[in-house]
Amino acid sequence: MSINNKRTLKKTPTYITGLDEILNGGLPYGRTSLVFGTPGNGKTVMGVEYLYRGAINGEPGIFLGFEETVKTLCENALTMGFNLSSLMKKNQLFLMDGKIEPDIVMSGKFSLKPMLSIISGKAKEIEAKRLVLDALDVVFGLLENPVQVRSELYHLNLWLMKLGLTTLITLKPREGYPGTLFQDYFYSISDCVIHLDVRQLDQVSTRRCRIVKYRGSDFGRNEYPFIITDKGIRLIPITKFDLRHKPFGERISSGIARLDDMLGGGYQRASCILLAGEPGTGKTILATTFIAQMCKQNEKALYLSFEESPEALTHNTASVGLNLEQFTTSGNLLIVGAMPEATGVEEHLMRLFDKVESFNPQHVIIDAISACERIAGKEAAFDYLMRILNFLKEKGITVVLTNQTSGKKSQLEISGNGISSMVDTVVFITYVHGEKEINRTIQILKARGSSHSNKIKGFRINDNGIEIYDI
Amino acid sequence: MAGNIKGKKKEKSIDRPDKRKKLLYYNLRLFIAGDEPNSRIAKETLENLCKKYLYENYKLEIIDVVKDFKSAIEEKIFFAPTLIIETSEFKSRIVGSLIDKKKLLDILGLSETNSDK
Repeated sequence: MSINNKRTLKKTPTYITGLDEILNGGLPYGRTSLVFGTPGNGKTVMGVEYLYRGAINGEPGIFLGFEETVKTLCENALTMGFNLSSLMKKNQLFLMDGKIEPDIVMSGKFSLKPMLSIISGKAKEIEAKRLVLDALDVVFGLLENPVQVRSELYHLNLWLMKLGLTTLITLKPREGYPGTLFQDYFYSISDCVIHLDVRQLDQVSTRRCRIVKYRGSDFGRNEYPFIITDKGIRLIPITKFDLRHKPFGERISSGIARLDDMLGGGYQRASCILLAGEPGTGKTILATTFIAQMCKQNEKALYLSFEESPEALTHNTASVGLNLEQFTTSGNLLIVGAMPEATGVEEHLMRLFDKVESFNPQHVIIDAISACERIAGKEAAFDYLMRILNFLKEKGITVVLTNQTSGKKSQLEISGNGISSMVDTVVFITYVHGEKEINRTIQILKARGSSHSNKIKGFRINDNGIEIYDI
Repeated sequence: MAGNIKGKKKEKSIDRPDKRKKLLYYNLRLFIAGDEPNSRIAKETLENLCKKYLYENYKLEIIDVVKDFKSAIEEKIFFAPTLIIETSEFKSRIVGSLIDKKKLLDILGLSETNSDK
């Protein structure tokens, strides 16, 4: 093909959250793709979800599996909300298992012709567009030698090409072959190869997904963590092809008039604000004052608390005159408490994403990002925050982060976890030790795309909330 | 497939099935794929064996999955040739060109009757 004649490959979307993004649109249309991995890595789930989502989007599919019975397959799929049997009744799906019985007797050579006949016969009948061949290694393992494997695979490929189904084969490595010979055969007939694996890191297991090859198409080349949730596979690319952050919106009040003045008119909608300071300086009060202001205007806010339970937060803020309860009752505020140590990064992310999708807030508060490191160490915390911020910025949601700094190094720690490039505004609160008292001061350290005060002001919390005064 | 390790037992004694045992009636279905060599070999082997050992006590049905994929679905046939043997006592399936005659006789329950019981 000449350069002038450049065409883009037609794709079949998997409709699996995040997967189409790294596949740059989906699987190669009308061709064969391979999902490779050791047992328990989520290959079958990926295959089932690909078919299920295809079917509900108007593309009937065929599933031939060689490990699980149709019954267990349907039961397992139901835990993710995929009702396969109802789709089968409507002829949008055809599921069949070819579990190889252990007492099957092998005597001499054979071909896979019946399998192919079933596929093409059924494909015509239900006008299938998609095909999954699950655990094909089981079938090919019955063949006597590599020569036969290659020859049968060759015929299979020809047949599939002729049928024009977008096929997904799942495969486990097989012993008894030199090196990677077995999978190499399958690689060679596949236009797209996806690797799945599970890794243990700091006692947290993480599933990873990687595109190894994709003929004729660009693809995300990193390893992408994914999880299997009650809604199926979810994958969040850390680095997407482009940044699609929404521009800042209008000014919104921080809830404190004098702070708004310092900020040049308030926070900016859809920006990311970091409230940094030593323990006890009032970061949480500052954040909740903002939320209360937004809720009063009938906007919605989600508060992710890593430090306090929702009850404790409501109680503690009530002591300075903030009544959060009225907003949780009115449905403007949702407080979610989370123990950083409870689950891994992915689980935390998904929970937040789900909450954001279902609650649909205009503002999200994360209190405090310093606690994120307790999830699984520094690197994971950075990973976690980058992806949250990316996700929220794309949705045009205002993000308020609080970060606990300690002692003298605080100036360096302010941006916290290396995310400073994602942060648009930094508000810093610190203690000033006087002769007989300790006072607090507040200042704006950074305000992207905005003029702001360079003055340091006094900061006080009393029964009526926050007070800012000249010093 | 060199399975004839027990070659010491002479095959000729299989020629007559044990009279003391009630002869089973065999329902045989051979699933083939068009005129593929393996299917052809299996068909010939089976037909000869039936005539020789089963006399009138069998029914043999040859099903071509290329023409009839629905039967393949019904019986979950993915490989050709596949032989399904059904009697009142057992059901069994053999995949492949049936090159191992002794194995086949074993499954049909015919080789045991040759012993000196």
